[in-house]
Amino acid sequence: MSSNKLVIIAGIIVGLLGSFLVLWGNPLNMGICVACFVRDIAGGLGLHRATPVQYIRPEVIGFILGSFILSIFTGEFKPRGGSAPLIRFSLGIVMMIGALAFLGCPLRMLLRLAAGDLNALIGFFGFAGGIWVGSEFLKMGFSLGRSPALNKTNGFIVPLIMAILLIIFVISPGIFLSSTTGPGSLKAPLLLALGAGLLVGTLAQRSRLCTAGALRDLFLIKNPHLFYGIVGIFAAALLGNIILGNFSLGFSDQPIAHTDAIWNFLGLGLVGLTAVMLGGCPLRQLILAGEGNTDSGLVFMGMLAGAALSHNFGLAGSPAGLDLPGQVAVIIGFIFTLAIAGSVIFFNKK
Amino acid sequence: MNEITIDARGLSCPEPVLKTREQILNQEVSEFKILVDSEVARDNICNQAELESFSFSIENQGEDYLITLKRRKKNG
Repeated sequence: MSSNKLVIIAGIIVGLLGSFLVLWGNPLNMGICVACFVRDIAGGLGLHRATPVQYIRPEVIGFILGSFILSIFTGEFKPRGGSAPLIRFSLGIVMMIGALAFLGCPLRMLLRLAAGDLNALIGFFGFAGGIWVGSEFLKMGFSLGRSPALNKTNGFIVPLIMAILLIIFVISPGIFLSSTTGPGSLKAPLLLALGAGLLVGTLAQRSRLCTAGALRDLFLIKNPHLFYGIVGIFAAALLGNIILGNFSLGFSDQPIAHTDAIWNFLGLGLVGLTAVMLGGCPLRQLILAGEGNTDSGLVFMGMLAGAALSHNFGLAGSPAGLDLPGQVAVIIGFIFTLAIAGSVIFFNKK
Repeated sequence: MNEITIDARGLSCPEPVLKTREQILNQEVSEFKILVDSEVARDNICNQAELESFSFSIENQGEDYLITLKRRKKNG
């Protein structure tokens, strides 16, 4: 199969699953959302105490284990890492703060857009802007350096933690925090959620689907390959949403969304910028972590920490908008990220 | 002419492709090699080569891949 066909088919299946997971019980326009689901897991583990968003989302476990299992079979499981660990961890935090200001990762942005939520269009422009800035940094010499091959043990850690989490969750779900109201209480049945997660994990591993790479490669190397993937996601989710009667065009009264245009734009702008600096969108980070990339494993840990910070200090958006602390956090996130970018470029040139 | 070999091992996306494209855009370069250690980088480079009218061949070197890229002659 040509690689273009593969990424389109992967996108279509991810888009359809995004629509149908809502039918099966996930929150509206949130069939799949890497940021929201990682935030729910942070809540389930008690890293934050926002009661509406606590649940050990099996989808996330599936993304990582699906990628892990397939990469073992294809020989692409190659543990590597050690390039700029603390920068990656902290940019993972910032990425999450940006995503939660918007209320979703770029994948949910596509699913929201496919359900008619025009706030996601503003988010998309911000995302593209962030990616454009990040691409310019790459041209200026931004690089987090080489990740050498590591002892294989390193690559097993994140998948192993996920497997342990899954086993404990299946045997004794009651030991984790679990929402009784709000988005965290809306969930597809365990096996469907896990199965969908595994399928998305394997498809994304095989096709290298990446929402940030899609635009980055258009800007930077004029290569539309990954862009076809996000077109597939959007088109399939649009079709799925129309079939399921979950399409309503407009800005107001969209599910789990707010209409603060500036913060939708800047929130996803921050995600786009950090994603380019980290080599991939939130979903891609989890897939790479499954393949044994410990740099991405650290981004995942940063995302968990970022989710905890967001909800412990009221930095996340809500349907009412983004409160002042969240606005300040996004601005600090930009200053921090731009300072890191400038400093890395400066010292790379020395 | 000196043979160009770029070592892009361990670099994350999209740096190996960027280094490839730097050579592709340099009209004075007709052939070069790039060494990578991941399938993602290998596939991305080959995909980009096809898009920009370069032919490529891949040689396995243990865990690494040495890709040789050659500029295709126009109209030929």
